[in-house]
Amino acid sequence: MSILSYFTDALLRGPTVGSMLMCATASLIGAIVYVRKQSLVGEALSHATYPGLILGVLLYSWLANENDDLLLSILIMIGAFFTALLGLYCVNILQRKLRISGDAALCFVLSSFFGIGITLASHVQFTHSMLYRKAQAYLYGQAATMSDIHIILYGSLLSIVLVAILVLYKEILTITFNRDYAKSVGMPVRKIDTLLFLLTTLAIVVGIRSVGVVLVSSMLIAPPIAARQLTHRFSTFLILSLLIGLLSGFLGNYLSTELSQRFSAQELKTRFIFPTGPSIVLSAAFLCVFSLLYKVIRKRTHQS
Amino acid sequence: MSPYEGQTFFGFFSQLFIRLWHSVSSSDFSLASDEIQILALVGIAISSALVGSFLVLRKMTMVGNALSHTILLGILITFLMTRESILGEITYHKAEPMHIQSLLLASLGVGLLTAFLTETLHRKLRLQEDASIGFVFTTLFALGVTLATLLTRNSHIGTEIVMGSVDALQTEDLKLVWVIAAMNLVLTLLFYRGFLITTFDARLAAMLGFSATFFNYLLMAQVSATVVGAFRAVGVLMVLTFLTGPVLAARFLTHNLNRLIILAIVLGSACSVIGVALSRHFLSVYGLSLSTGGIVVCVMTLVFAVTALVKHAKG
Repeated sequence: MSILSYFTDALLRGPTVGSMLMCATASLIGAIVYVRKQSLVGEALSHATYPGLILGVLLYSWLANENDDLLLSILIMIGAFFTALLGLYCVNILQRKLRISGDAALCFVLSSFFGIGITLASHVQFTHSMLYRKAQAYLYGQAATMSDIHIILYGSLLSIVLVAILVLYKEILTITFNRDYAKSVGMPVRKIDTLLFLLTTLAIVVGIRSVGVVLVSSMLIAPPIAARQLTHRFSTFLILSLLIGLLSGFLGNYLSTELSQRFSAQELKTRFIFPTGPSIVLSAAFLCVFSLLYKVIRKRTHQS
Repeated sequence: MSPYEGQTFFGFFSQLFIRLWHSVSSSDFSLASDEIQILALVGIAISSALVGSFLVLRKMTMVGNALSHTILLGILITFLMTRESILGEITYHKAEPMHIQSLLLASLGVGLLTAFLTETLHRKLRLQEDASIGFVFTTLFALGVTLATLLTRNSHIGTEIVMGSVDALQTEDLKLVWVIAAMNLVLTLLFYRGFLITTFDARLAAMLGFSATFFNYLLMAQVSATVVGAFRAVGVLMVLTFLTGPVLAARFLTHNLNRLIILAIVLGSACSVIGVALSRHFLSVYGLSLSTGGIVVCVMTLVFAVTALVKHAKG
């Protein structure tokens, strides 16, 4: 299949463009999270979305009579968003009020939220087994079922993030690199902190559809690492990270589709499936390793 | 049919004691599924408390998180090595209990690989620590998931490893759990001083000749083994609550390391037993079939919340 068909074909368009938009959102926010040294917060947040996801499914089963995939996606996103925020709030309380070190707080919150989610999920499994299967698809992501509506949905979410970063670019830059100065000139530091956390949560909630709950945090980490090796300018870093996110979203979809077809064609008896979510993550990791190597080689040539 | 069928929360315990008495007095006795669950979860709780205490005190729980993800790769490698046909009909449920030695070896290998890669990125390539941990484990995990899906042609194995299922445990699975628990106990007793000194006073440790690197890697190996022991029962993610929850709760109650470890073991085991009983209670009273591992995690979270509140109220 030609590369162009991934953007024109009605079946391939949804997953490909949808994943690309998601990965772009995640890596853009990830870049900011990266310079703030909070990369592992994404890990905790992504697992904290799981109970919300199941709650969204339960809500859907009460509200909807007929099959309405868009409503299900939106309810899942809302539920996921809220429990992720709750998780973040818990991490904050554990750290501030109870003086638990950051890593233990993150680890405890992510696993206990996930456990609560699993308890809820085991209930849903018996009452609504069809919906349960749909919810489980979010664990490792399921890009294949995305349609044009999702492109619009995720496109608008990406634009929200983009606009927020463009408008607050100067403030974010100052707060990240010189917090005390930002405070002294009266910037709303805490408000912007909160906004950034909200945007991070949004990016993760958007990302769980294609990459999945357990892997989405890597989309916040790998593209920024790759981008960071190539530049020292903050603005270039953000743009590069966004582009690498887009590229890995595309590569992941392209590779998973192409490889699945190649292998299946060779061995007719068996059907091989390259899962899209992990393929996206591996593509991003590949780009990351590539740029790390590039940096090492450039350093060597500079020294000699 | 399980002797615990239809029991409520309290009925469960009385039945447990009656069965305990029977097991001592009569010769033919076989474990019911609820008892297997209790034994497995308590074993995991003991391992986790021993390892988790040092993990929390050393502020290394995120490394534990990383190891618990990458262990998927280790488990898959064991699948490949202990089976002749790579693309044969590997289904998770049909699989016989895997060789304990090969599982332990694979987990050790993957654990050390994770630690090594993270160190290399952090030290050699000057990547910040959080990003290098995150990058390494998510990538290895993605590799594991891809392999799992390819080899088994369904993503079920991945789900199963992440979520665990205590209900599917058999008597043979207990062996792995308790071998690891015993190993952790022996190692902790043997190297208690070393762990203590390297955790709290790096300088003193260096002066007395305790190698920090050695104890670091030993702890990593123990964490990997613990996660491998737990993945069938509670999955690779919920084991993190076993590692951190009881220890964090115990830290509110004591400042003494000895007591911390013992308290964490007691709390973890108690939560496990209560969780199994609650799971049975929900099933027989409300007809709800909930994930037992999930319930245990909920109980642990609750216990933590209560101790935190008590501590906070006292000031």
